[in-house]
Order: sequence, then structure tokens, then C-alpha cells
Amino acid sequence: MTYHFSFGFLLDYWSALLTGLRTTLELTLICVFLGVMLGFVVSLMRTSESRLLYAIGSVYVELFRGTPVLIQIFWIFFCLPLVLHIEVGNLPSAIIALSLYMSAISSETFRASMKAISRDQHDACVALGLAPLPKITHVVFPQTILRAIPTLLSNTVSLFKESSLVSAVGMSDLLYVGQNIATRTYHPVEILTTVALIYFVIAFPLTRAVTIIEQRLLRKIDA
Amino acid sequence: MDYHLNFFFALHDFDKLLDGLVVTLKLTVLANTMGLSLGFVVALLMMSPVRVLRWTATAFVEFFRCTPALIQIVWFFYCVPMLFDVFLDAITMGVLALGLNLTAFNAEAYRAAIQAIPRAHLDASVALGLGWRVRIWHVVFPQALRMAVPVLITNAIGCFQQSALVALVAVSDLMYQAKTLSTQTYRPIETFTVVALIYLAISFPVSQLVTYFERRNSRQLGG
Amino acid sequence: MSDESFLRITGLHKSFARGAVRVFTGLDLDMSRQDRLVIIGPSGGGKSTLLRCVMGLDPIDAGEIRIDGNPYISAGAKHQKNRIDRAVQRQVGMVFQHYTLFPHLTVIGNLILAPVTSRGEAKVGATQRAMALLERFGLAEKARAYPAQLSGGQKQRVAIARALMLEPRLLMFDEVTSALDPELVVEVEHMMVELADQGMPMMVVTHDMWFAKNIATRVAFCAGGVILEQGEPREFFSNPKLSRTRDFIVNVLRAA
Repeated sequence: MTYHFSFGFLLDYWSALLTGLRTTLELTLICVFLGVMLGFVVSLMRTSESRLLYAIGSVYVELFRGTPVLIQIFWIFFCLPLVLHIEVGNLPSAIIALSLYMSAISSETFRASMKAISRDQHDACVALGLAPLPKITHVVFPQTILRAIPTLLSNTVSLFKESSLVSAVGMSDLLYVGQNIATRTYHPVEILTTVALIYFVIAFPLTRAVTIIEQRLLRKIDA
Repeated sequence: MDYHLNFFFALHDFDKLLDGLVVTLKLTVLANTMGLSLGFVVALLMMSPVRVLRWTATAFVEFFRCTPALIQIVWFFYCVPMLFDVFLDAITMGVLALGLNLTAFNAEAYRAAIQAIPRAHLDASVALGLGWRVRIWHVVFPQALRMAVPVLITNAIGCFQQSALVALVAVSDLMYQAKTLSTQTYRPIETFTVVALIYLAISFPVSQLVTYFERRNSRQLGG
Repeated sequence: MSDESFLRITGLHKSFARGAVRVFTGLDLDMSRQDRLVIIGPSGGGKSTLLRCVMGLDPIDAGEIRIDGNPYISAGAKHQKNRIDRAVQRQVGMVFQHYTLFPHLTVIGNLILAPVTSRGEAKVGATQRAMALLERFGLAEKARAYPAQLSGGQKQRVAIARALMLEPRLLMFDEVTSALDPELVVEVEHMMVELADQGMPMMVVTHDMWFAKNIATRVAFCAGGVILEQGEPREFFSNPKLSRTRDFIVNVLRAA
């Protein structure tokens, strides 16, 4: 092997990496928040009686699930400003693209958890004469959210990983900073490995937490 | 709108997009060959009684699942040549990177499927005096495969879409051609939309296959 | 019938899967206000479906259901929805086999949800009523507990209390003790007996012959979507008219 390892220089670039990490985390959290809210609305559309709403919702979801996230990001970055005739900055574009993607995958999560609410619950609502709106707000919505939490957490981890794609359009997230440093210092192995480890150190515990939360939750809910 | 949509140019340069599509499909198929076979092996290793094997396999799987695919690809393309003094062609490296990623996800799918086989079946085969080789081949493998098929196909679709990332390391796949074409012709909307539709046209039917298998599964298992 | 008919079902037709599975082909049933009607029969004979139709959970294909002479559910023309009088439907309550308490609400939350959100009752008043009900049936200390923390018998009793909050005029029980461990059945049936003593008209589907023998005022044997035989418990159990009824009773009692 002719590669000479050197890890010392990493300390010089530590603050740059942290700034990149901060961008990645902020982006992930904002997009999860927006995406989940929109995702719930879309899931309502996909479980509604209206054929039109169902169709629109389904096309929306299949569009985002059937195309590479990279193309979605490119499209929002390069095509949206042209379509809207306005400048859309880097950050808003990234937020829009990732939030839309998150809304599509989380809508599937919500749809699954809505289905998991047993038919008996719906029967009980009829037997109690519960009006439709209170039924949605007091029975369907809370249980849907509770059941969806483990998978939503898993969706969040996915979004966290996909967020690295914004580096391809010049946004200074963790991966962009890492690649920058790598090209500047000609030590790609150390820096990229470190960046990978940072992603891992955040994603791995969250993935483990999903399993634990899932078990705890099911114990409470499947009474 | 001062941007005039013109889809006809796309027909003119369509053969370039087709070349890219061929590369994308080649990458996907080869990566899947690797991912489907190696994934099963890794899954077995994850359940091996030998602790070293179990830990190594699990570490491998967790690392590839908890880090962004983009960084795996970038790492492969920049670090492997430097580290090991090997210079593989771009396609091979792409296949390896995508393949290893897919192996990890498939291993997880196989493992879950194997562990979902009801204990009763294994107990019954022991009670019938079947040796462990027969047990694996005739009882474990077929059932695990049937349960894993929907997830494996979904992962294959995911790999197909993730292959778009190799465009960022200058592999001439469909995404790369899209990027080049859109900058050359100053027509990002048409190019990216058409390419997105191409990805969709392949992903969507295959995902319907998943639904078909899932339905067949629940019916056969006496759902 | 000693009383004017309280619940009257006439000509009930129902099928599933677009006519492929026929459940009822012209079923008639009468119930008076004093009645505690217990329906027994083999699984799949249509007992639960009958209750569900009366509750308005499953649509009927033809026929009519009246309560106190007032039209309640009537089948529409072909391919049209049933006509259901919602005001009457609100007077019918039902308790299910699998408790179906809302797991994310406390016991008290479960009880006051429908009255407060759908009947315009004030939260304070509803809570007081709910606490009174819980005390009456010995569940007051569980008011703030969640369903997951209750035993099967307690959950079922809470489910009954929840139905009682709506002051139904007819209460239906769909195999409410079938899913319980044997030692928990007693407390639930105890509560049902108390309700019966207080004059609540009830229609009960059960496999528990003790309940049918001792608490019912009328027993009906339902098999194959038809009420083959009905009558007073004593007469019914000692002298069943049809051999099929006799076989069923013998087999069930033997299994007990």
C-alpha cells in the first residue's frame, strides 16, 4: 500500500466539519417536521372515500417513490426557479425537495398505521354514536401517530442519509464540507472515513432505538 | 413564460439517454446479482454461532445501512484506488459499491425472513428426524425466500434508483446523461422530467409486482 | 308476547360478497321491553351478524327493523343505502367481544368521549356521571388507569359502562365473555345481571349456557341464518322441540 495515513490534520478542520454537521442536522429536522405534517394530509387523501383525492395522493406518492431522490433534488434546484420565474435559494430548494420526499414516505407510514387500527375500533365508534369529526381527532389521529412513531423514526434516519445528496448541488452540508477538505488536503481516506463515522454514530443509535420504542409502544397499545 | 418548452429536442438526443439507461440497467442487474446471493450468505453469517463471524457480519450490515449511499460510493471511487493501488474501471467500481450496499440491506431482509419462520416448523422438522442440511434446504430456504421476496424486490428498485448517484462520480449512466444534456441544451425541465419518467416507467411496474407477491403471500399463508 | 313489541325485525335478508354468502333469508324476530333475549347457536350461524345489523354496522339487503313501532332501519331499493334513523340508532348500545376500549385514553376518558363530543354534554357533568357509574360497578379506583393496565374482566366492564353512559334503551352484548379467562367471566356476568335486574332490555349472544338458563327471559336458537326455535329458558332447555336444538344443547353442556 502506497498510501500514507495521517490523522493529525483532522483537528484543524474539526470546526468546519461541525458546521457542516449542523447544516445537515438542521436540514433534517426541518424537513422531517414539514414532511410529516404534509405526509399526514396526503395519507388522509389516500384513505379517503373520494376517488379524486385518492388518485391525486397516489400519483404524488408513486412519483416520489419511483424516482431517484437525486433527480427530485435536481428538479427542484434547476427547474423550479424556471417554472416559477423567481430565484429560489439553495436552502429553500433543499428544504422543499427533502420535505416533499419525506411527506411521500411518511404518508405511507401513516396509511399503514391507520390500517392497523382494528376494525373493532371503528365499530365501537358507531356503537357509541361518535360523530365523524371527533372520531378523527380523538380516536384515529392519536392512535395513528402513536403507531407510526417507530416507522417515522426510521423514515427520519432515511432522510438524514438522503440529505447528503444536497452536497451535489453545492449546499454546504457535512458531506460537501468533507469532500472539500478531501480535495484540498489530498487525504480522502481519513476525512471521508471520519465523515462516514459521524453519520454512523448518529444513525446507528437511532435505528436501535426504533426497535426498542416499537416493542414498548406495542405493549401499551395492543391492549 | 419566456421559457419555451420543447420536448422534441429530447427525441433527437434520445439515443444518448438510452445509452445511459443501458449503463444504469447493467449496474442494477450486476449489483443485484451480487446483492441477492451475497446477501443470503451474510444473513447466515449474522446468525452463526461463531461470535467473530456474527459480529463481523453484523458490523458490515449495520455500517452500510447507517451511512449515506453517496458517501459509500464516493469513498469507493476515491479511496479504494489510493489505498489498494488498484485501478478498476468505473462500471466495476460502481457495481461493487452499489452491490455491497444492496448486500447489507438484503442480508437484513433475509435474516428477518428466516427468523420469522414459526418455531413450530423447525421443531416439527427436528421431531421428524430431518438432518440440519435437509432442514435448511427444504424448510428454511423456501419459506425464507417467499417471505423475503417483496422486500428483496423493493430493495432492487431502491438499488435501481440509487444507481443514479454514480453520475456524481462521472459514470456515464442515465443520470449523468441527463445532467450533461440539460447543461448542453439549456433545457433542464424537459430533460429531467423525461429522465424522471423513464425511472418511473421502470420502477412503478416492478413495485406493483411487489404488491402482487405480498397479496399472494398472505393468501398462501392462510392470511 | 306480554308487551307491545319493543324491537321488531321483519323479513331480514342479508348476504355478503355480493350475494355469494347468504346469511339471512327472511328472518323475523320480536322482542318486548321486558325481554332479556339470549341468542345461542353454532359459530357462523349468523348470531353476531344479527346484532351488527341491528346496531347499523352492517347494511341489510331487505327487510325492516323497528323500535317501539318507529322505523329504525329499512332497506333501500336495490343498490341503494339503508335508511337509518340516527336518533333511534343513538338509543341502541353494543358491547363487543374484544373490549375495543380506546387504548390511548384513560378509563374516564373512554367513558366521557362520546357524550362530550357527540351529545353536547358538558365535560364536568359527564365526568360526574362517569364516576358515579364506575363507583356503582366497583371500578372507581381505576378511573385514571389506561386499558393496558386492566384485566380482561375489568376492560369488559369498563366497555359496558362506556355503553351505559349513553343511556341506551336497548343494550346488545356480542359474546362479551368468550375471550375472557374463566375466572374473569363471573364479574362481567355479575354486572350484566345487575343491569338486567334494573330493567335494561338486552339482547345477548353467548356461549355461556348458565347465563342463558338463568338470566334470560327468552332463548333463541339461531343456526344457518334462521331462528330455528325460541322460548322460555326452562321450557327451552328441558324440552327442545327440534333434534338439532337438542344436539346443540347437549354438545355445549358436555363441553362445559
